Amino acid sequence: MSANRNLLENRTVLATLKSRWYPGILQIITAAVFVIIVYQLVAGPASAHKNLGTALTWVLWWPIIPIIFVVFGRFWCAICPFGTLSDLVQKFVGNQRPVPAFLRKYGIWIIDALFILITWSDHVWGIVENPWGSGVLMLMLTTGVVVSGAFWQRRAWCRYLCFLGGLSGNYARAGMLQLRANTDICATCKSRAACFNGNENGPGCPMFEFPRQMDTNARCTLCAACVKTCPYGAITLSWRPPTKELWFIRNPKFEEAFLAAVIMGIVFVQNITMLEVWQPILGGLQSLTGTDSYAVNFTITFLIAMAIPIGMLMLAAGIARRLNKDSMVSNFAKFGYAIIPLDIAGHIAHNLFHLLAEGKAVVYTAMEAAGQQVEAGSTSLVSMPVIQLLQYGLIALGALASLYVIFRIAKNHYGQAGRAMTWATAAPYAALIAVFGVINIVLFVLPMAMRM
Amino acid sequence: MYHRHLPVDRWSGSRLFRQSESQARFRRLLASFVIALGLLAFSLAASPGEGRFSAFESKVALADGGHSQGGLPDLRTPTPLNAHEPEQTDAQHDMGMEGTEGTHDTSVDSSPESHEATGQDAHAPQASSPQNDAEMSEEHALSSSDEADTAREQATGDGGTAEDHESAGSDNHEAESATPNDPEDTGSEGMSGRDDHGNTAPDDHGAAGTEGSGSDSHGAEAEGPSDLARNLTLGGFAAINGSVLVTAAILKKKSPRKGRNRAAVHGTGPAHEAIKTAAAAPITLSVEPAPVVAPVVAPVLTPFTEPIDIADASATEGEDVA
Repeated sequence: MSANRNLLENRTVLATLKSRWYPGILQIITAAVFVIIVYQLVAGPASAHKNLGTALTWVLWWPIIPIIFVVFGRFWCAICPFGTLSDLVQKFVGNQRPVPAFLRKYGIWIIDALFILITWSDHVWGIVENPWGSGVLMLMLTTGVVVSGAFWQRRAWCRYLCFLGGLSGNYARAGMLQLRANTDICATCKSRAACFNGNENGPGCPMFEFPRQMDTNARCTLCAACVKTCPYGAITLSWRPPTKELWFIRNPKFEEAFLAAVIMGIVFVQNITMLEVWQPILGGLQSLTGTDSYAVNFTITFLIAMAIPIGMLMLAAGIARRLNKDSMVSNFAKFGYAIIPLDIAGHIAHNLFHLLAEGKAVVYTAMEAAGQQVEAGSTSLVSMPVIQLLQYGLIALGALASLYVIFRIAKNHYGQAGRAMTWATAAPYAALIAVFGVINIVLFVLPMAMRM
Repeated sequence: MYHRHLPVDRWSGSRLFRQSESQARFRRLLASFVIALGLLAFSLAASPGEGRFSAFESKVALADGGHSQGGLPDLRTPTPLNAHEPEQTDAQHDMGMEGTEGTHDTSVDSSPESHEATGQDAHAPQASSPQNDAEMSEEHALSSSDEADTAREQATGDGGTAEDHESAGSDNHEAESATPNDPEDTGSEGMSGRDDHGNTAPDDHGAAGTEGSGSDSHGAEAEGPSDLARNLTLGGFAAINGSVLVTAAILKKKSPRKGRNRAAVHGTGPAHEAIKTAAAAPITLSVEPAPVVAPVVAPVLTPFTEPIDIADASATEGEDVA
């Protein structure tokens, strides 16, 4: 299979994407499941290990979602029930106002803050382990979606506010499926940007993207709106090597690099707090701070865990700038994206434990929700050694991918100055990835607690 | 000096109108959010202690001196993390299924009552058309400096793609602006009933009283949120979202377009009269706050609605029953 082959040349694929049922039929399915999940979370069993909503959300969906991002980019966002809700609200009561300038300018920072806040809330209030906590989170997000859809155009929530959208945007950059426009055809386009503005065949891009100039997967949800509206068949869909987009980011943004570093910190936190070693750490913090308030001590841990990857990336950027004479912020922004493959690997590896060690919980809780009696049994799908082996493999793969991305970024930006400059610039970041990789491996060596 | 050449009265009137309209819109928006926040605060505050955020409360309680109980796994009540041991994964992770509660009662009337739009439904007549979509799109194209900037940065010299992007919208805008106003687009004066949704006090959800009085069959677990608190949560969020939707519907009906709105107000003739008539018609939206109110009211009403148990009565009131 050629990497650049346009999948839309396949009549079945094209017909599917052009169908008026795509992605609507999938949206209906996910929305129906979402209703069941929210009902279960809010009105179902109060115990997490009996709650179907908890199992479907945190044991099945959350571990699988980063894998979907890697393979299909932000496809999930096209069928996300929140997006569907936003569309419905917009259709019936939407005021279709332009997205405020501050949101367009600082949206990614808001996403960063929301992501950190939700992670913090999870640990302090036990959102994941408490079905009702998860339900309240879902309802709060629903409220945000309703507000956004009621007042602003298109999918303002998905692009500028959704914390998962920020995460998926970053991960999708490493994705393997890309939608682009054939710029040669676009150069002769007389449809007045139908892909952006919409026409009788459908609405314009819900994510405010202009396919002709789109060079990233970060905001494309593969909703195929542009496939439907383009009268010239200029849209292409093709496979590409994973992480390829990270090699050639033309306009690197500090806030996106920052998010990549934050995600690494969150992976650290998620792992550390599920380890047995967490108790001694907590005890040490208690004696240090003089308080046994969990919120206070966890917040300190959380801030340190966030600061480690950010600080180390800044350190690497500081070293590299002495060599390549570029600014520190520029270095940070350019090479921060290189952490993304390791982020994804750490995220999947962490959740692989929950998926494989607790996977049967989905079946058990579903049976119980259906009124059947369930015999107690193991929830694991495979043995712990197998899971750990997979985790080590994933971390190694992620680290290698990150190292290669570093090399390509260095070559892309500083290659003209010679190979020595490329390698010298890449060296501090390579050391950074090595440290992150080792920390992750150490964390996965230690036994972990379960979610359910 | 220059003012004498201007239609002063019309100019000042227009400006005044714009100011008052924007201020009124802001006030409506603010009031709506205050109502929503109030409902949320009410729903959270009214929930019982053993219910909502019990995990948080238990953590706080432990943090105040209960750490001797065993650390994090205990902190994570009501769903304790099973202290993980390697062999536990393969073998006997206790799903807790042995005590299946066949009659787990989830029949609580917890579904939020969706707001119903009746009569002059504020949002019913709004039909989105491709033209509207296109117009919105071009509005974004015109206003979205971010995208335009990005486009300029990325323009590869093949004809000024960014400008294409914007001008395409402009063309659409001109075409669209020629379309006549329709009644529901306007109507900035005489709107009433924007707070209808807050007045639907009659609460006929007496049946929910049985939940309030403790008939929840899984109360024995005593480890999770109560149905009452769940109802309040659902009701709170339903109220917020309902409030937002109502606000959006009103705003959409009143002033979907500043330009159109002004044009309509200053217009004359039968079309203008039709617009005024439509705008003056009250919006009758009814939002039932039952999930919020019922669980609070029901326990109070329960003693008056439940049948009297003669035996109990005799035990407490003695000779009166005899």
